[in-house]
Amino acid sequence: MKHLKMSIAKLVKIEGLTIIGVFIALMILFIMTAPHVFTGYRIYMSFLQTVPPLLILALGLTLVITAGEMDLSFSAIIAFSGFIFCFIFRTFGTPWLAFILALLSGALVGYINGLLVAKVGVPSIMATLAAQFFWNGLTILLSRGLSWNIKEIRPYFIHTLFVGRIGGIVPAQSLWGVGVAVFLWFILNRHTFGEHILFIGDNVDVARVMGVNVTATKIKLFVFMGVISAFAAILLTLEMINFWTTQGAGLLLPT
Amino acid sequence: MPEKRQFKNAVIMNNIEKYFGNVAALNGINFEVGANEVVGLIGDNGAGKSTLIKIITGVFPPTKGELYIRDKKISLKDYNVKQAYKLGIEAVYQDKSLGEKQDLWRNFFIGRQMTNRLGFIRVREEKEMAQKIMFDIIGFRGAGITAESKANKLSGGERQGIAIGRAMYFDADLIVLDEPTSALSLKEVQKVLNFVRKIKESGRACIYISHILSDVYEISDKFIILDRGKVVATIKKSEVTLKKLSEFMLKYAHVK
Repeated sequence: MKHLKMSIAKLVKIEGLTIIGVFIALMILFIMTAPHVFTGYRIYMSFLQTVPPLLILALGLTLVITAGEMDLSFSAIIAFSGFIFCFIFRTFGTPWLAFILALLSGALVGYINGLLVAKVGVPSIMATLAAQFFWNGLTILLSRGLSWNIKEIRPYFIHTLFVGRIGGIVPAQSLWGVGVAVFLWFILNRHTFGEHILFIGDNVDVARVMGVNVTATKIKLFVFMGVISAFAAILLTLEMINFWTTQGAGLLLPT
Repeated sequence: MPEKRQFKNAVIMNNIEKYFGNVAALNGINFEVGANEVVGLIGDNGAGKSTLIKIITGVFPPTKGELYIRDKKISLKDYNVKQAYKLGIEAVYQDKSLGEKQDLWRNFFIGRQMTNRLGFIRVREEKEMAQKIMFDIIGFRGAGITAESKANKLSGGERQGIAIGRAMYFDADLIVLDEPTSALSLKEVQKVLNFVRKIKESGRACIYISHILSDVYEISDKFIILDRGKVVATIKKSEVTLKKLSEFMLKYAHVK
């Protein structure tokens, strides 16, 4: 009996075990209520296809929230960077230039957010809300409100790399989602940048007097979030082989 | 034997001024701290004590004036907390020394982590070193506190112990203690005072800020009294008794 108690106590200590328990309980509930849906593989493939952009955004946002800030502009980055990606690809036919410029566009949005929050001192929830309206508006203006099809990108390697089907079944973006999760875990828990985020979120005065450059770290953080959002935008746009002006709008709340 | 420091003064401030907007927090501050001197910095709330030490520790620059550290003039434009670390200045603040929700090993090295070239933290080394500091310098044994405990599991005295141990480990020439005993029990206050004595014995300099005059009097070599952003008196311990000092301070309480 004592043994059992001790092993339970040990189990509880393992990080994330409770949430895994909740997950398993939910899965059992799903399978019981709709057995023919949740015992087949198709539903899971469908999840792996649509969830990764959302997952990546949520992971990025975790860092922002850890620092005690908020970023509401990522849904606009999904649209704006997606548009940049399609526009560059359709104009020049070079997917990798499109990829890089799309990431840079996300960085630009993030940089402006960072300046507003860390230098000017606008509360992040307001600055990024305004940014959301601005970049969404700009995207609609630049795209003339149209949706842009890029089905020509299908044969390119970039399409296979990011959203291809591994073994004909598993969507590649799911692996990218996992990759980003692992990468961000290391950034937050093992990198100085992440440690500075942890301390800023904990107590900004402590961070400052201990030698953390709070302003620079916050700007970096928003740029980081911008790039991550842009990456999610690229995955989404590649999967849909299509850009549409409101493609980020549905992602704000779920994230 | 305390090792001899290669400089005469740990800090000299020359006509330092600090404005926040239009408000003068410090006005024409002149003072010096010898290489092996314990200076008690006293003054009422709002006198400018914290502002003054934050200039020394590089948290913010003064508006005007000259700052010398270890006899060398500091370029105020490039001066920051990291520079202050390099010049051997460590600080222990009343309540701003530790990130509450963070592991102790992180708290030891925040702002100057041991990293590889890509900026990733060498966690194992930091943890081992943190554990060693806790054992050898602070003397934490048993009590179930390890380098992986969170700071909020510690009592007030233990927290100050960590902050002080950190300052010792980094081998500071000047240790600034900003109201380190405000939240402590009497027994814990004694520990902090003993630590200040250790600073003195090991040949280092110390600036000690406290409201509790008897503590300041006990350990300081010299008192600098601040009032409304100005140094109103610099008194050697040999020139004054605790009673006289208390009477003197009452003058600056501005009681009507």
